[in-house]
Amino acid sequence: MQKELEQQHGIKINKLDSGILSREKDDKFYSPYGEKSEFIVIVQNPTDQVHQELLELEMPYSDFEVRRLKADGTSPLVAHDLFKPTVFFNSAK
Amino acid sequence: MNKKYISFPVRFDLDEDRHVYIIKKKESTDKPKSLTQANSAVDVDTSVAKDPNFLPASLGQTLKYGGKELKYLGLVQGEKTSISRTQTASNLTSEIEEEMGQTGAVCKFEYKDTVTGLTQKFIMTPRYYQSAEAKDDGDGLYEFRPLTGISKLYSQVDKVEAKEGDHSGQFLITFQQKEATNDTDPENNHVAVRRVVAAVELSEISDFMKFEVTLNEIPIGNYKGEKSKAFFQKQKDAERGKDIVIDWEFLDNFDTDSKLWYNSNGLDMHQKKLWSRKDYQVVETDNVASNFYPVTSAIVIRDKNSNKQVTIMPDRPQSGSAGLRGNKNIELMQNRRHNIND
Repeated sequence: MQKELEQQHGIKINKLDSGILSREKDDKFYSPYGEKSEFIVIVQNPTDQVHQELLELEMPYSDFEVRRLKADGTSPLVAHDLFKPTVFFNSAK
Repeated sequence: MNKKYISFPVRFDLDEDRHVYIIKKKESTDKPKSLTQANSAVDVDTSVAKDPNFLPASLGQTLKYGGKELKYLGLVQGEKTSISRTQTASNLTSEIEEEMGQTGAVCKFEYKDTVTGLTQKFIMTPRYYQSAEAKDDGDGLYEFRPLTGISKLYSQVDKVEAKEGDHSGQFLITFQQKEATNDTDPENNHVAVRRVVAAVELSEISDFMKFEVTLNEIPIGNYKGEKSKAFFQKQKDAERGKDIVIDWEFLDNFDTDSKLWYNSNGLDMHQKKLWSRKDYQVVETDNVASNFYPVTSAIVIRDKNSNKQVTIMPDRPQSGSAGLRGNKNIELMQNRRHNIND
């Protein structure tokens, strides 16, 4: 997969991170990607069939754009919904 | 930190088994303009993502995604549970009969499949069975033994909110209960405790309606030391052990005919009839636990009067039963908490 990305899109991958969860430091949450201006998300089909999945992502930025890198070289913007994760629903407010 | 969560559908074809997305931070207000202009040759999505916050649901508000519709029909007063079976008189005191009348606000929805035109109204509520707390032969980790066999409303609907996105929409139902802080004057001294939150989701890529039910801590008493069965029987309802089930009640004269289908081993569906066994004659008792079956991947009921079928697929194996409340419901055990163990 790393080779494929390098050949097709010219992206060299040094480190793979399986999640972009925020971490806690001095009672404050931060994201390791907050200081960087961009990151790549690779979504693998979990099955061998034609498959649809609703992808949910936590963003380290407040203002961002999501583009899909296609094999033909184009990178169209992806329309996305904002949502609140269910863990917040029951928090005592 | 003001965190943002986004969701979008990913569609995998046969020749593409992975997708690559680049998420870029927008630096300032000036730069992205030139960026979008430069890329305007590619199909640019100029739509703005909608507010992630839930807004109060309006009466008749309908979510429409992928050939499915879910309409909010408002709050109604929950029906009183009626005794449809021959009760063992030993447990059915007048006090319990009164408690059965305990109802509260519940919310009604209508599901519609636009392809087939099939509609079904339903009510989803958290309910509980009072546990029969006793050493050795009571309710506990090992055995499910309810005291009366009649489930009561666990908490009533506080508010219903809705959120509509481009690809999916949700109704968020918050159930809460008033808990007395003062025994002598509970009417004026109580706090509202959020007990259950349920998100009902429709999305354009899923064939199902998704229920995400989150239960808060189940309230029970805080007793120290070993207590007797007689001691627990004197306690108030709120302080005794509870077995919480999530109940889906189907309206429009739905009749299960006392039948249900389930799969206990995850392989094939088995049919069961309430209060009946193939090997011997079952005497109806208060112990509804004998009608609860392990639901590994699905529980099904069918309407006697029409060709409707309702299938509920839990995301983990749960204990479930159907038709115990007037032959028109499905219930799945979600959580249990007791003062003592069997």
